Amino acid sequence: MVEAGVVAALFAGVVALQLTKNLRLRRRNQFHAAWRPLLVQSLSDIPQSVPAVRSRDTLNFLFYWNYFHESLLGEDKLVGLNQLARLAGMDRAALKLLKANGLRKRLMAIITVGHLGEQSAWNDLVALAQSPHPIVSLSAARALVDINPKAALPLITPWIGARADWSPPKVAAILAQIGSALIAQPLSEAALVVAPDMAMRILHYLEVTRCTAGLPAVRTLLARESAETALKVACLKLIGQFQDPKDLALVRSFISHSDESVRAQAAVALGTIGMPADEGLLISLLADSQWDVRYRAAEALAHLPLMQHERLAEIHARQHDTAAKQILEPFLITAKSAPSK
Amino acid sequence: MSTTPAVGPQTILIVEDDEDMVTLLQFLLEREGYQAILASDGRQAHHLIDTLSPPRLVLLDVMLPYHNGFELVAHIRSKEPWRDVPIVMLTADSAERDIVRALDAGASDYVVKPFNPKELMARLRRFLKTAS
Repeated sequence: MVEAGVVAALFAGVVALQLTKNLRLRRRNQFHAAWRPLLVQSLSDIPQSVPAVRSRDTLNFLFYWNYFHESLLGEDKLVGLNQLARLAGMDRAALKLLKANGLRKRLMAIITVGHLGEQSAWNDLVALAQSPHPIVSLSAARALVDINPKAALPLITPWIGARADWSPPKVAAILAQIGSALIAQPLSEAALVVAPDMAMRILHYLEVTRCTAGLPAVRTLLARESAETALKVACLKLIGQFQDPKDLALVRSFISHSDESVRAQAAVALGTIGMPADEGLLISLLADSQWDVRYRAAEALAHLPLMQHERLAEIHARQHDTAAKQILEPFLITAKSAPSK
Repeated sequence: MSTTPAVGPQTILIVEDDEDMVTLLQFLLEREGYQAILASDGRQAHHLIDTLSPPRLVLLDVMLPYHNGFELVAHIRSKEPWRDVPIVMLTADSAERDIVRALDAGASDYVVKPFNPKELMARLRRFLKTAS
């Protein structure tokens, strides 16, 4: 009897949950159906009036409005969509929700004030961007950039170096949004004064945003006697990728570095910016005690400008060291089948 | 003898399963004087391709239920009256693999979501001018 009662109560609970879910879904669909044409219309005509949004529909509205914002690019969308949100009182609602306890509400508010360019949310966003929660803090940093990229940059630069928990693709997207012309100086200057792990993080962002204007700071870092090996490797990697011929002498100076990872990375960089005259330097690395250095040197040698299969075969034939001969062999085969340079 | 229902000369087929995106695309096209016919999944699109005369252009999402965008491009390109219809693919991100696959399959162009409405319309106009 008791068991039957428990089963009946459970069944009633499941049915009630399902009904609530269906009701919520139906209400959301009705809300979307009512607002969809208004949101779409706002892209071409700035609305003069909009229906009131009930407080229980605030999150629905913000979610849907942000969906439209994120589905489109270009400045044109901003005027109408933002005017619509302000007419519906959603700017005030979002400002209130910045202080809400629920994570979902707070995130929705952060994204909304960013899209709205809501200057009055600035101080709240600065505080939220320093939250220990990585999603809250990163979203707040992005909102600051949405509101005023120039003013946000000096604030977010130290955070970018310090926050190992921020998603690198999202940080890179924020930096790309600001533009490499603006980020080059503050980011590269920060790399010179922060701890090595932070500097490496900043170098990574200079790399993914193709921020070549940051190269002078990278050269300074690389030339520092005290720089850690990992940092030197990161600098050489960046220099190799940015391929500025001015860096050739600097890269050459690291070919005989005492650390094998630095020698290997210098060889990689020489493979991208080296000249035919660098052949001798790379040949000297073919007999290095470390396999990785030998391999990178052979690879770089094969990629030097004007290097042909015949020349590589000559170099191979001249090697007395077995390890040097062996490391060149796969590149010799590839060069034979490759079209002439 | 079978007859194929004709579509108007200004008709564009939108194949997209996201209702909000459909409304948005429809609005953008109708604002420029085009008429949109809609298919919300790959099966519906397949049926329209088999039964309708060709539209001026097809705007085709990649990720669709039943048949994906790549399969539909292949179907369109294999069907005589539709073979030359310009197809612009909508891809959810700028994944190079998807873009190359779409162009290899026979798509005429692609637009990455999120998109700029002006850029989308400019790309479509290029094909619509040629088609007319």
